[in-house]
Amino acid sequence: MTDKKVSLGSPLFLSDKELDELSQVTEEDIKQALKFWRENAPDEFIDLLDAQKVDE
Amino acid sequence: MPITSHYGWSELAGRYIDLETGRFVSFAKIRNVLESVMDASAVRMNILSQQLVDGSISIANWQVAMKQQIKIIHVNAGMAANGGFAQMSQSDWGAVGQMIRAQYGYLDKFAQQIANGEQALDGRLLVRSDMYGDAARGTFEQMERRLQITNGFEEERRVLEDKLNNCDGCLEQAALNWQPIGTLDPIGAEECTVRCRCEFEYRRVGENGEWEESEE
Repeated sequence: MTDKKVSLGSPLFLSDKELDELSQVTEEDIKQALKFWRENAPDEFIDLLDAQKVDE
Repeated sequence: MPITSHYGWSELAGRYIDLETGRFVSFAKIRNVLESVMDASAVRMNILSQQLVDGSISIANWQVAMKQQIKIIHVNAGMAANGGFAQMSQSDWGAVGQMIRAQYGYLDKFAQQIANGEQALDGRLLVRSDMYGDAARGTFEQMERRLQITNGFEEERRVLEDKLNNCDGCLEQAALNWQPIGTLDPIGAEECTVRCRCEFEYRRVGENGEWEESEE
C-alpha cells in the first residue's frame, strides 16, 4: 500500500469581517466545548462547567 | 446538559464550591484541571499538524480543523475562569470571541507562511502549532481578571511561576508589584508569549480598611 499525498493547496483567505463572524461563539460551539471538557477533564471535574450559582 | 453538578459557583466569593465538602475550590486547582484539557487539545492539534506535514490533509482543511479546536479550548478556558456555562453573559462570550479572533488571525498568517514556504513543513511547524493550545492559558487569566474587576478588586500584581526561568518582560512586570487592576500587561504579552506561566493576584480594600487579597 502506498501513501497518497494530497496537494498542500492554497490557504483560506478570510476577510476581517468573516473572521469576526467566525470567531463568535455559537450554541453549537458551546456544546462541542462542553463535550470535549467532559471527555478530557479529570474524572472529579467533568461536571465543573455545569456549576450553578449557590448564593442567590 | 446535566441539571446537577458536584460543584456550585459562589458569586459573592467569585469561586467554585465543592458541594460535597462545602469547601471552596482554588483557582490554582481549576488551572490544573484546565491544563489537562489543554493537553488533550494539544494532542489533537499536533495530530492535525502532523497530517499537514505528512501530506495527508490540505492547508485549507488544516486551517478549518485547527480553528475548531482553538475555539473549543478557548471556550473551555473562558467558562472555567468564569464559574461555568451558567455564569457566562453575552459580554463574557464576546470577550472570549475576541480572544479567539486574535488566534484566528495568527493562524491565518501562519497558514500563509506555510503556503509561501516561509514556514517549512518540519518539526518547527509542529512546535509552533502547539502554541495555539497554550494560548488558552491567557484566555483563562484574562477572563479571571474580568471577573475580579466585577468582584470589586482594585489592584493586581504579576506573580512569577518559576523565579529561575522567567523572561525579562515578565520580570519587569512583576517588579512593578501592585498596580491598578487592568493596567499591567496581559499574561502572554511578554517575550515568552503563550508559554507564560505567570498569574495575577488581586486585592481590594476590605470593610476594616485593610487590603484584602484574592484567595488562590
